[in-house]
Amino acid sequence: MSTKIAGIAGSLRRGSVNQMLLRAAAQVLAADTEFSVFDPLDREPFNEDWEADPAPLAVAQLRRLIAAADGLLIATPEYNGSIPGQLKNAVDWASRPHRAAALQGKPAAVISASPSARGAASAAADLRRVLAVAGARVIDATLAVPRAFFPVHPGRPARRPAASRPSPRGHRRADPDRSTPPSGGLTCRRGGGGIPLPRPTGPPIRQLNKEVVMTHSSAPTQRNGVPPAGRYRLDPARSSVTFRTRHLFGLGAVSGTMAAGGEITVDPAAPHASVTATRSGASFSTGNCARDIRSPRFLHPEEYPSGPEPSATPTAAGRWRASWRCAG
Amino acid sequence: MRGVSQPVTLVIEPVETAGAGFRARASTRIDRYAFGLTAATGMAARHLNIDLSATAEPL
Repeated sequence: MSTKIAGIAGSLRRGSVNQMLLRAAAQVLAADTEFSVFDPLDREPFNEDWEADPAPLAVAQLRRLIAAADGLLIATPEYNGSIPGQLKNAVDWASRPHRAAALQGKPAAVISASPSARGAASAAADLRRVLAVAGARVIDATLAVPRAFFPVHPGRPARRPAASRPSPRGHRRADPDRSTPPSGGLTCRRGGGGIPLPRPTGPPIRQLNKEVVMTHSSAPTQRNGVPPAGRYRLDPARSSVTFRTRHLFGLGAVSGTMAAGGEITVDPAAPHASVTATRSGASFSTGNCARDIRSPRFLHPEEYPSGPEPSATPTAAGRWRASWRCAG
Repeated sequence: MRGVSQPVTLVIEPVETAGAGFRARASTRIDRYAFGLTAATGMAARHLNIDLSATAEPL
């Protein structure tokens, strides 16, 4: 059975290096993967009055694309230190309605490229946080391509496009309408010298492949199945703890994440499963360092660094009673 | 929180098993006052919704 990956490039610009990076990355997805690309919603600003179905046409198309996909691959540029507004807009639409959102539980990998030395790493980090809060299963690994000044040509050695012309700065800009179509490798050019970009076979793509393959493994996925008895390791890259609450006397929403890991022992004969979950207080983040949530008045992880204690006992179908010692 | 343990009830969605691993998601709602975390009363909400997502592989 083939798998489906939905791609979104955060940049609307013609000839965007992120659009090209997305296409290049798509070439190294699993061989039997169907890949489709959706433009971010630039004409349909998110409005909570319209978040439930029936949604605007473009929103409905985006939600259908994401719902039908087994995973998401998003390439983002960085504008003023964060993600483009249209990309955040698309995530906001796809995160609604609550509990039935297309993004809920969807594996998502983030890659980025920009002319900066950090390759839009800040935007990629912001996007991963936003996706996690929105309910996606975010691939933790990253691929940030720095110094991407000119079009990325997947599969070709650095070669000046035939239709390039001098820019006012003296560099040569490729005409996006005449640029060479992607066909394999990945190189980027600036002026007369080619800048090789890393092949996007990096950790995020591998993890996305792995995640999707797990969903579509030869062993059929069973819902409500009982895992075989044994000890399991929680994959930190695919496990998370998120919280949502209100502040400013109920006027504003606050959300945050923290990394999770640990072990689970499953013994069908025992009355309870043993869960040893760990998560790092240092990983606690609300995306706003000005909040004093880690101060002595609140969580104070320096004073209370221990992780949750094990013990989780089912009390009824679908409900477990757990005693966790949370400190951070 | 802050050294205080309290039992919480998690509502677990149907566990997905595939191959040798499995995936589970759970959610709960906690009262931070029950853990002694009472700073910023009124300013910050008393209750928090917590979502846990876990993907496990055999050791």
